[in-house]
Amino acid sequence: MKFILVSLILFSLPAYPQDCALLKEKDLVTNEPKISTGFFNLQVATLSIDADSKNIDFFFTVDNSGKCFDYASTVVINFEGGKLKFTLRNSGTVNCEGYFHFTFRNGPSTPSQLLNLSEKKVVSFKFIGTNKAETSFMLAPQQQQLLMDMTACIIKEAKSLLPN
Amino acid sequence: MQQKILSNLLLFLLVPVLLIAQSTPPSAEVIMKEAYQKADKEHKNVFVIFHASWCGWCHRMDSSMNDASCKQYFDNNYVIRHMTVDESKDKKNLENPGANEFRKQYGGDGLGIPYWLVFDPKGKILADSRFRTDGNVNSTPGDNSGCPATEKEVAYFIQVLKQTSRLSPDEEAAVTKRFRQNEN
Repeated sequence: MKFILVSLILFSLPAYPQDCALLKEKDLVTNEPKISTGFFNLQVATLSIDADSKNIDFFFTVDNSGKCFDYASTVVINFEGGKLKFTLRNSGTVNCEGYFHFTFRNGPSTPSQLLNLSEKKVVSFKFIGTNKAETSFMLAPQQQQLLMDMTACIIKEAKSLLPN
Repeated sequence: MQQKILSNLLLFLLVPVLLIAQSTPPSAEVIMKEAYQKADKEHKNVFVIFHASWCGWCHRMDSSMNDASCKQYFDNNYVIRHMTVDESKDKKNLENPGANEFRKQYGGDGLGIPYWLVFDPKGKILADSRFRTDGNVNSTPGDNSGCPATEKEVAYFIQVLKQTSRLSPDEEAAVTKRFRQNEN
């Protein structure tokens, strides 16, 4: 009986992302309900993943020592194994504060790149700003897991914000 | 051959789409999210100005705030952000998505530009450019003061700056002097 109980608990764990405690708030601009992971550390960057009924926004603040980002700036995301990587463009403002966004549409189906972020380990990020200035960093194993968990958590909870 | 033509056609159709995607300005939501983040870090308030490329008074507002006599004061106390609204038909692509709705939400619809708002780093509205005799953002608003120029407009602007920043007598005198020049 004990074995069955322990097995049930153990097997049920992977079905839920660890610590899916999201901040529930109202958007300060649109006043719409939104959810957010709050900022968490990824080496020389912090990341907050926010979702409302329309978008899922990855908001990085990169410690880039005065390097700037513009609309043409990109981030290259490398996944474990070396076979998968993709490049995303900055959807935020032109700034020299290290702010960088990429955004996915929130909808009934999950975009494949977003799904990859929730299912595959990210090994490194390479931000390419104005004048091709690069800021690269590798993620520690616990940060790889945290990023996957937070992304999975947001994907799951963001569906509840979709209009019926 | 047919495949090559098809791929060229696809490329021809896709390039403008990609170019449009590249030139889309950031949304009001993203602008404010970054502004609040920066304001919180630097212990400042957020000053948002709604403007358009054709708007002469908006340019005057920027020139005044960036004048050597005042720039330091504004930079030290505010995270200043612009949102483009009310552009002409051929320049609609310059508008920040969501900016019109954001302005409307804070009472600026149909009042002309520049229209400005002041928020604390948590997104609480502290002031807007509509005249109020007591300067309280919750009391009945009057017309849009826009880019301060007249004595009355500059007096209201100073009242807002005093309530939302640390404004020394010297800075007050410098801001007053610079903005009064706009009347000429």
